[in-house]
Amino acid sequence: MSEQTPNYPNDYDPLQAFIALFKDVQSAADVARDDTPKTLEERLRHHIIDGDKEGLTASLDAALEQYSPLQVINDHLLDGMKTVGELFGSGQMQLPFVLQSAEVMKAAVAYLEPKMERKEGQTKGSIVLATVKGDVHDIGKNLVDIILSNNGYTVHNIGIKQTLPQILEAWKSTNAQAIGLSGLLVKSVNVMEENLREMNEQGIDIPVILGGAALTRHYAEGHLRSTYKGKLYYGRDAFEGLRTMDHLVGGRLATLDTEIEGRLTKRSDAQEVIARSRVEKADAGATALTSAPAMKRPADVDPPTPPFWGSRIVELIDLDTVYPFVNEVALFRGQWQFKKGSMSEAGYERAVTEKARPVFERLKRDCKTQGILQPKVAYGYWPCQADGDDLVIYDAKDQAREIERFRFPRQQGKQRKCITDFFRTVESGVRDVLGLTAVTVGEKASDAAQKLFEANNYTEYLYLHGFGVETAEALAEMWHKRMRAELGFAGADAPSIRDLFRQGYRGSRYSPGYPACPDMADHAIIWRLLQPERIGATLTENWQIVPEQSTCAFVVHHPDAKYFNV
Amino acid sequence: MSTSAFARALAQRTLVLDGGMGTQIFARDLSIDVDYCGCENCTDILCTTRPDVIQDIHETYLRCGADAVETNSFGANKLVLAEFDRAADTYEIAKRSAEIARAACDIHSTSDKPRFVMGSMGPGTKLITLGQTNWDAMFDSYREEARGLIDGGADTLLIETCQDILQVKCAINACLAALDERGKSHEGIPLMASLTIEQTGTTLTGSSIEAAALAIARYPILSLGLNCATGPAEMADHIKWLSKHWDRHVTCYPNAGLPALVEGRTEYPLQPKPMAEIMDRFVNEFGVRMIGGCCGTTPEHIAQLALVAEEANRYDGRHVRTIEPPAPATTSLYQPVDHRQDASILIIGERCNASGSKKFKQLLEAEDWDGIVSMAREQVREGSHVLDVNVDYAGRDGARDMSEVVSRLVRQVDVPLMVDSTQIATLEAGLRHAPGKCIINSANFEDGDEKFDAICQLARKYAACLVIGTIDEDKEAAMARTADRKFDIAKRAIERATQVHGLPQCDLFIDPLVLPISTGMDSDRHSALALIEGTKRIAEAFPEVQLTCGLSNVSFGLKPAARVVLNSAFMHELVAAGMSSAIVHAGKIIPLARIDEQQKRVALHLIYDRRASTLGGTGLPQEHPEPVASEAAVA
Repeated sequence: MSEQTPNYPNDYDPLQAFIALFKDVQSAADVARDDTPKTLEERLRHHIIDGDKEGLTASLDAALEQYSPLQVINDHLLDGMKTVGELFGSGQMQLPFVLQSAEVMKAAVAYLEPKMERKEGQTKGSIVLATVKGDVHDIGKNLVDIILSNNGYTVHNIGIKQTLPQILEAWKSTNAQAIGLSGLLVKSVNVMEENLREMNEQGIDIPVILGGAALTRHYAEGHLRSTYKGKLYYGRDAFEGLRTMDHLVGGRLATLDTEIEGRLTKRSDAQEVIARSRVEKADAGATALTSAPAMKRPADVDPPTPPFWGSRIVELIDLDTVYPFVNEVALFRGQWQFKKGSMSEAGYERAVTEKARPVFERLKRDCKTQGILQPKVAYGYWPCQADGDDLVIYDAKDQAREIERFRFPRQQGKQRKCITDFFRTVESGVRDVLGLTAVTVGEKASDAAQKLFEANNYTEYLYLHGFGVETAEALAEMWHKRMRAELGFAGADAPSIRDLFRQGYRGSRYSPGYPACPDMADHAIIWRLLQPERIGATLTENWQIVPEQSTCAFVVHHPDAKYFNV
Repeated sequence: MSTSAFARALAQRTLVLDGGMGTQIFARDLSIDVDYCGCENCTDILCTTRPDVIQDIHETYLRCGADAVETNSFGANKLVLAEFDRAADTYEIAKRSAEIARAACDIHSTSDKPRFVMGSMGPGTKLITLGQTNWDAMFDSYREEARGLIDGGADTLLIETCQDILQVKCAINACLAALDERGKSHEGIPLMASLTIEQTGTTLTGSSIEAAALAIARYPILSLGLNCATGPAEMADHIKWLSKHWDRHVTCYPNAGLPALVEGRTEYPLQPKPMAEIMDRFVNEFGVRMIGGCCGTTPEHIAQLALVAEEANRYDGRHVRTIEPPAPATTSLYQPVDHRQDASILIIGERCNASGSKKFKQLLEAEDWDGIVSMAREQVREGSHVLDVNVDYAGRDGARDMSEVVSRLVRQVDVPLMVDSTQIATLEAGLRHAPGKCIINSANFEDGDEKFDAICQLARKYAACLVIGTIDEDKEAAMARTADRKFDIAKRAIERATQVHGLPQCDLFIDPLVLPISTGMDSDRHSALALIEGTKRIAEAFPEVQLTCGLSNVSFGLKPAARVVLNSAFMHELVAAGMSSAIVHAGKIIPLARIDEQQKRVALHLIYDRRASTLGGTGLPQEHPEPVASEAAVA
């Protein structure tokens, strides 16, 4: 310590000493340690990582004095995108910021492109991307487009509802090195499988990358991979797709194959362990897991009286009354991909408050003032009775006349539940009541989102798209509440809207395509009853609702009716 | 003991208020020309033309079991009636409304079940925070209504359906003024406030329940509650918050659910029984003491609620609330900000000050109000929790400038404001435009008790916090330079503000005065030390009181770079001594860890006056040249 003690003169005056220390310091900004990147190379990387367009062209101009445009892109900008991918993968960076980075990347490439000499090999590789037949969901696929094209790939994004002949046509005409298929619906997984079999028939073995919300890694790598004769990979997100493409063009697919084999082996080991333990349990006299308990119908309840029979439409709903029903968790985490990752609870809350919530507030305002969202509802009540697994629907006026029939599937094993069980039977002689709703926020939302995508405004595209979808869900939630009030049991509602998202109310709202009633064909019957065309909602041949920002449901009043899987 | 029979009843049992008035009126066949005197939708006017109809509605509710009815005076204030050219009739209509309700109550009152007249005072049609009216006009409008209600025999004044917290403040002041004129007090005729929280979770003007409750908590109101906008289910979270944190009675009279326009008609879906089920929870779980109904509720709803109250009262099932008062705080229009910040101090942005910032002065001269808003927002981005606003500038109209600036900042900036002026009129102009709970900067004894008292009264009137500088009448050295003087003046000020004016200690911010140590004059060398010492003594003696200071003054005259270092180092030492807040330029404070070691060491020598003792300093540092925070303070 003592050698550190300064030697103070007897006339030491800290004021003079202090002033002297700052003799050469000119600006207050120079006092604190500087975190800004020093070198040109770092600056280029940081433009991308921070999604910072300010001063981008100046940095690029400076870089062009030392490097060729291609070097700037490949060695520095893409290096930044790589860091972005790593940060995203480890949960340290949220999707909206990834998209901001992609926008900067795109702007940089657009700036550099005219300065490049046109020659072969400027693209790292190419791929055809499509959402499969009958599926209108394209946000995931478009994210893959953004990330791949900003990482030097040529992407032929041919859009939604693409049949196999259309996809193969695109592949043949572009000579792409891979095909990427995407879909959100459970049904889309079947379509993918059909497509793969058809490609086998035609002797096509182009590498395929599959993605989308309905697909699981296990199904893709375990089942579909062995179905298809060519190479097949699962893309959990855009960055996994990028990694697959990098391996594909680099001739390193074997590395990926080894990884997949490793995963499958581990998985089957685990399955074996579970199977063994089940056998042991059964041997020890424990309840056999496979034998289903006897089917038990829920107790009968007196059907409530609806305020009217048949359908009504409601328009001119004030968006401000719908917004409080937006599930923020689904919007921020699900749609907007603000993932908690390694953040603390408080850190995540802060990130949401600072980043997501202001966007949410702005969208609420803009969508209202600019009329982008136009909430409309078709709903109604029909007399009905259970007949086996069928739910018989009677005419609203002539309540003896059967007009439609829903057949709901029954759980295999478990408790053998079926939606029909929540209604009084034909034998009881009591007429029960089924509620139906179809809600939409209108087609303007889809159009506006598409415009943003075409204008390369990816962040806003993600925000608006997700917001539209969740507002439609909110409208469904709100109208369900209204119907409970009309049926006279809103008093059982949980006090806060948050709890409604966890079914904090009597009864349930089941949408076709979800686990309790997976058959999308039910949409067709609902459409005949409710006629939601009157509010601008129609069905595709695959029973998808157009516009996408719409949803419909069965409203079941029975207190025991809650979500379950068949 | 309160002199109000209503207050005594509310303390003893759960009371039932009536239901919707409008629906009942519209259900009757009334003539627009005769009954409404041509003023369509002006239901208040029926008090003079059809007292029979109004009394009948009151009696219907009383027969259903209501303990209290609201006078038919929701819009009977001058601002609303002026729209029908009836402003001059305000007093008469309000007085009649109370007389009619009084007559109905007197018919149904028994010694077991006295009935009460609640003087209804609605929000009117103009939002004061949005500048659609001003304080004086609104005050005058409400005072006239209150006079009528008091003279007509109302038991309470119920300021209801409040959408704007500045409106509540103005209405409370008007009611208190009217009571005072009539030689009455809020003890005899209690004031009650009922907020309206929209489905968005805030009032129409954007205040959270926390912000609204904080902004009006210092006023002498008997109860705070919610009514209108939504059904009871949507109110549950807010009622729960009030139940837990509001230190007086909680009331609740919701709509019959969320209205919807179905095939052209407004319908309220919530039926009497389901509504009563939820209200039963409010009474028994959250201790709500008065329940009733607003839009869409009918006599059947009230009959059901009467059963709920009867049940609760019979079994004495009333919930005993455990109240945790919220931490002392200020609030903007939107959100509260605690006086004590975790792991930080309360940072009060100093730049919106005409004598402290050249840029602000120029914007003020140019009347570039948007520029001023940008400047304010920048300070928030830099980390300010509160913003100081000082428009004092010779030759300009301070009150006008303050009005212009504050009316914009309160809407466009989400932090509370500190209105700062030497002029009482300028301070008051700012306070009349601020919906939230402000901090007044400042009071002192330089001109004796009189001016000090006047500013304390401002804090009372606008429910604001108050900065008190340690300055007194001393002719030689009014500003306290020594730790002893700082402490003595602080003690005198705290005692006077709390004991004479009833301001709570936690809303007082003592400013023990930062004086420069950068002048080179011997007399200034000990200034920083004296402040550290004074701060410590005040903080120890008055732990609930807040401490603040104008930090930057310590480095007056030095180069900007040197100021950043000295200010930052000094702030660190002050915080260790107990300083809880500072008026600073947040962007110019840097963490100690980012300051160069040598700069930091010399800055601390300067703060603790480590000159050679022969020169009058506190002595050269020995082994450890660097004081370890405040423990190094010189004995």
